[in-house]
Amino acid sequence: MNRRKFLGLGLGLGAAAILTPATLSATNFRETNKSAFEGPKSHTVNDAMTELFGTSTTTDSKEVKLKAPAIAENGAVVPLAISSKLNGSTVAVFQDANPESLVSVYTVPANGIIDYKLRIKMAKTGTVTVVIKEGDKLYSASQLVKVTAGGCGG
Amino acid sequence: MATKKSRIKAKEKKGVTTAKIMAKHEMLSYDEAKRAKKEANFITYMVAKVDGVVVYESSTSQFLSKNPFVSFKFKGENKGKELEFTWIDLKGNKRTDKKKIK
Amino acid sequence: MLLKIVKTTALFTLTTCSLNAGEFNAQAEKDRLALIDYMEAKFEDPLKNRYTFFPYSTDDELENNIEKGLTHEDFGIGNYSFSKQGKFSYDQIKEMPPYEEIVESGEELYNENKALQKCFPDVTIAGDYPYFDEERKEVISLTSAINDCIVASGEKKWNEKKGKMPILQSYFASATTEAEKKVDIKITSAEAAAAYERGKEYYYTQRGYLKLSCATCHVQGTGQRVRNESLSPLLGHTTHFPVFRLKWGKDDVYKGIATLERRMAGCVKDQGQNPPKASSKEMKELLYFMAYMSNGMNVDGPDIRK
Repeated sequence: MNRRKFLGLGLGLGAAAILTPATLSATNFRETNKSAFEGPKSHTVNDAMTELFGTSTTTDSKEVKLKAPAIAENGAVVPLAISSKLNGSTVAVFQDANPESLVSVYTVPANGIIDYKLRIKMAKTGTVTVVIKEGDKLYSASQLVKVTAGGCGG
Repeated sequence: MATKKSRIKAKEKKGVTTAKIMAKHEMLSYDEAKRAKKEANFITYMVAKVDGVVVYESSTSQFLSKNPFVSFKFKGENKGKELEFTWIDLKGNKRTDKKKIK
Repeated sequence: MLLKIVKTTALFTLTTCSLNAGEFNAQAEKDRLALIDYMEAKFEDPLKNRYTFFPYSTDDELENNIEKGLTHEDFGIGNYSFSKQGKFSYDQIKEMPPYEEIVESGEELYNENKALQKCFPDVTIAGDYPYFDEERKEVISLTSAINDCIVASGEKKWNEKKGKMPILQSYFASATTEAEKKVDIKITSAEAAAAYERGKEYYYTQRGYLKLSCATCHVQGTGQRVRNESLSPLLGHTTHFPVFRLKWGKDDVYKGIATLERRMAGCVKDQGQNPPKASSKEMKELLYFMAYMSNGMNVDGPDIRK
């Protein structure tokens, strides 16, 4: 139900397949919502969120569990763990430490469980935000991640 | 471009399969590419399937770490079946690897 | 009658000999047990014992960031054992650590080199080095043992800090970990005990313009902060080598793995001092002392550190 809504917003499945033969499956947000990833509206978290979901209004929710290190040992490899019991259809990860804020958009498949882990790059200290779309509503959680350089021992 | 094999680990326990995958890719963001005087290229799309059914799908930006690690879970009795993982990058290169779910 | 005297003398000599062999590591054992007692006491309840052990730490740090109730084996993971902040990152990255392919490369290196196979028929030996060679009367580290083998086979010796050396050592360490072996450093002669003592002296000597000794940070300073760093303990320091540092491995995974020699030299240099050369007597004896301190702990290599 929600997937069709997205495809309606963007270019649509057929068009996407013709334009980029490399695309495999139904939902490639880089095609359907290109402006969320690149361009003038991709820089701030709110803008990118609007480009992706149509709105940047979210409800902070304890049901969106984001685990990230309070201090990242190395900005090139910041591990994130996202989980939720919400019946979400899409999960998006944003951060405000890099030139563009959208990092990853997951399409939750029918037999999927919202339990993702990934390792990202952060150029400097920033806040990581996870947004889960359930039905028509957006739920979110965020955490500040401090990025330091160095470490002694050679 | 020669692509490298993804490392895949997939285990099923009590009807839930956990997959841990490390794709091998330079993941040069636009800034990094400029500094290294190379062309930017990074994974933009990843999908995993079991028996043709999608169990994981993500569209990604230039900010995943080099040799990106992703982990995900999905339901189903999948022990012994093959997990097929594919990534596509900015330049259109594609890589598919398979691993049996333990 | 004569036979009885011979038998008794033989028995007596045997007993004395074995007693003496046990004695050579007596001081080392005392040092090691004292270190364990100190570390366990320190981290039993940091907040409660703050005035004894953590006079400079803030309330917030002691309440929220330092783990308590730690015992001997816990310290094997370095400062991740008590620093809650770092532990999350560590656990996450351990799910699929970047050095997995390095271990595989190490295995390939070993399988392709007949000389290495002859020198090291058993690969589960990471916990036995360094050892004191009674004939050559010197400490042999794993690095120098590998190089001795390589040079004897006619090749040029390998760089002691980066490249093939730590890659091969990763394979040895991983095999030793899988075999669930423990660190087992022996001191079985007066000369070995003397080498241990010299290593210990290096560790506790204040040097350089900062007047720091290794012990200042890694014994007394364990758990305290140096800017953003939570200092790791001497106990368990050598169990997890070769080490993969995220900082070194940022651009190329193979540049991230390194030997004990590189780590120690790097640390000494960071403190504004001149580090001993990787194959020098000083370095090997320092490693001998440090490894002995971790006797009895699980070998758990390679591992990741910041």
